[in-house]
Amino acid sequence: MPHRKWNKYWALAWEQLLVTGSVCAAAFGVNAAFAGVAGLSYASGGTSLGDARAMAGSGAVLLSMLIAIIASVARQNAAGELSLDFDPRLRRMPVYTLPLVSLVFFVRTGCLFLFAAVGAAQWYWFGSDFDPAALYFLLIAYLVLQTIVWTRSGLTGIEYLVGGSVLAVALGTLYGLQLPDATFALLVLVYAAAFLVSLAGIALIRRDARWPLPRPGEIFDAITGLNASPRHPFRNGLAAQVWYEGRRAGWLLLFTSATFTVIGFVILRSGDYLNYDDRYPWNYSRYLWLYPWVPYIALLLAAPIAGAVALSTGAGPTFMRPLETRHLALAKLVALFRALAIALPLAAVVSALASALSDTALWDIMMDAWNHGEIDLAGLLAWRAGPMLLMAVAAWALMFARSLESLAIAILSAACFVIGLVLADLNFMNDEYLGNIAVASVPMAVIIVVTGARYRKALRSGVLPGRAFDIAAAICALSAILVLLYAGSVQFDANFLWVGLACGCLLVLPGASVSLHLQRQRHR
Amino acid sequence: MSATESGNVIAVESLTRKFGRKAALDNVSLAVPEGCVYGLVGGNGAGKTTLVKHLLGTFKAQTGSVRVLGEDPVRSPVEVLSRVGYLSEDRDLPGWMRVRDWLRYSEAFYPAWDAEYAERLRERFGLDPDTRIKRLSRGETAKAGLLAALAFRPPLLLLDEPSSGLDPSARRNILEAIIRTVAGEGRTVFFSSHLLEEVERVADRVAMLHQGRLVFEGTMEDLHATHHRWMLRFPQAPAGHPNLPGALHLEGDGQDWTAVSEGDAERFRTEALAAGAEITGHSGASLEEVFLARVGHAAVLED
Repeated sequence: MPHRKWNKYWALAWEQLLVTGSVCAAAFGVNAAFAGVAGLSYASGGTSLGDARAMAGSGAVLLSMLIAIIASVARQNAAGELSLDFDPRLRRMPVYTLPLVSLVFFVRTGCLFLFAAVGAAQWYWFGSDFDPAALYFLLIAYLVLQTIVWTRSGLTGIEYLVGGSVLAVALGTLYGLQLPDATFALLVLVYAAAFLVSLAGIALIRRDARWPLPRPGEIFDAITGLNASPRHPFRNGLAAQVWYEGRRAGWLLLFTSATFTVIGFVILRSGDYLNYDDRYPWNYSRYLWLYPWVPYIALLLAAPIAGAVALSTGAGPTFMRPLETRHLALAKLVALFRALAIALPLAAVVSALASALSDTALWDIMMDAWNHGEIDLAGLLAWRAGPMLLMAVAAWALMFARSLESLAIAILSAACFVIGLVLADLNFMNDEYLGNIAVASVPMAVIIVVTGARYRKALRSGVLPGRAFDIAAAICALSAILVLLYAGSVQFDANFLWVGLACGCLLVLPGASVSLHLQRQRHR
Repeated sequence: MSATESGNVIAVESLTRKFGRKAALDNVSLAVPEGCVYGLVGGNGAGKTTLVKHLLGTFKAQTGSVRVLGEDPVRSPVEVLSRVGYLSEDRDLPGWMRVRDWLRYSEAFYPAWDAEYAERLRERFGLDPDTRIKRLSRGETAKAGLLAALAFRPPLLLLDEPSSGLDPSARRNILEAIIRTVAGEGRTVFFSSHLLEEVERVADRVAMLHQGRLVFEGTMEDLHATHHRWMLRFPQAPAGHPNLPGALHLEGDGQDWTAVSEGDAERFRTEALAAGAEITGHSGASLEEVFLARVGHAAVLED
């Protein structure tokens, strides 16, 4: 009997439906088996578990969803090996890219979304407290993974990081806006983005082309120099050394501060769980306010480590290259400054997210003020920028702890901060500004004299060119002017001046101390 | 290349260096003429690496002076290092770099870098450009370091224990060939080694360091002309060492002894005959024999 010829799109849809439907059916089988056994066990009273029905209702659904997602993302190629990309066979199909990607994308996601709906119904039916966010997160994870494996020949590891950061920021923003269902809104956003990125990526891959713009990874590498291989010859030795120092020590600040941040959050979360039913005398939940500070504390802990590695010269051909010592110092300073310039905003974003997610009282107050129009965006940013600036200066100073003269001045500067801020506050209450100025003047005078002496020594030793002193003086003057301008725009408070000057000294200090430090190391 | 006024590429005068009370270098003076292959030999702790570090400017002379290519390497490190190809003993190359990155990084520092020559050397050394340096064997790492030292055709090639990690074939076919090629182009090679046979094959001049002191410095021709190896037989076993003032070193037992002498061979022959010895053999002394005679077994056994 003659059969009717299928339309190619219908054939494609049928094939995809069959593949993904089979995966979902198999996952549903796992789900049914798990839920059935748990349900029967509960009905017969034969389980010792506290709430077998709840487990069946939620655990089975989540487990089977996870299986379905993994099976959908991974597939076997013609050789029967596990393969992770957009099937080359599909790429070669005589079908336009838009319908091809649309069919594959929507059939696959449709099947999984349908399966999620079935899971949600089961969840309800088993009488558990239904939390749709769990399913949404799984679907978001699927969309992200699917997009990555389909377009990975055009993506680099750095882009995963950037994409993840964008998602985290989006999630934080949605939560911050206190939408009734922020996770669902995020799912919709990711769904649309995943389709567009997949479409664009596969279209380019089919043409054996690459992203028309430089890959985000390349841009990131160009800015950071953290993970890049040199693609073009370096302009000169200094450029090569900046790349070298960035690769050697620049990434360390990011990696170490991220690790410390994770460890900090795990410790705090563990404390919260331990305190679940107040069995312990200590009360970790009182320290929720610590969450926003975790990334900053991690950064401060990471800074001396990264600085020590950058300033160490034991390994590598550091001194064997024909490069002036001051250029060597400059390369290290640039690499560390760049690393800090990347790590600090990331820490600030994570801090803001932690602040939002930990529901601190301060965050609530800020959000109330925002919702009532009592604070504008500038005010909100200023609220976050204060600690960021303070941490930036502190981290920058700590990076040079290996250099003894830097450390001494950093300690003096820290003392100045304390005196300038704490005593100023105390004096403010007593209206004794003159006392504030007198007390703060002593450490500031010491800092300025010591910093000046280091520069003089550096200049006389020939490590620094004469113009470096002019630049340093200009930075100091600029710092002072900015601080004065700021102080003038608000109610004048002398502590701004001292803090500003301390910041200026700390910023320019490494220019001299690192050069001298390296000079000593180079010619022992 | 720009030769110095004296014609010496390296000029070290009365160089002394102490670490605490121990003198790592004790009043060392040497001169390396242009176009020469200069071998520096010595046991562990003899001061070879300390001397090389002075030549590179990483150590500052406590007393005496060091000039490399007419410059003070401490005062003018960039001028010196930009004209010196250096291979360090501990091969401290950055392990995280790929070979390709390493070459591109090194290229940036030397305007005279010859990229085609570098590529030819890389192929000759069998180095995969995509391999990270930490994945290379010790010998391959040495080749990567040597490549960077050679590719800008420096007037002075400074090699600290270049043979370390290389198999005998690589030593002969690559290292020695390269040293000869560089010298053949009129450039200068200064290398330290404890492989005396290798130094003897390659070097034009040699210096021996022992406990920070220079115990010999001269051309290989001088060394061979002034040092002799003698096989002696005494009619009766002498009590203790035979009395031969011209002998740098005596070794033997009973009637048969081997001597290494310095200076006029005829004078030593006369001394030996006068002492009652029969000369059963005579030849020029090898570098190893001279080294053993001057430094003693202890230093060699340490190696």
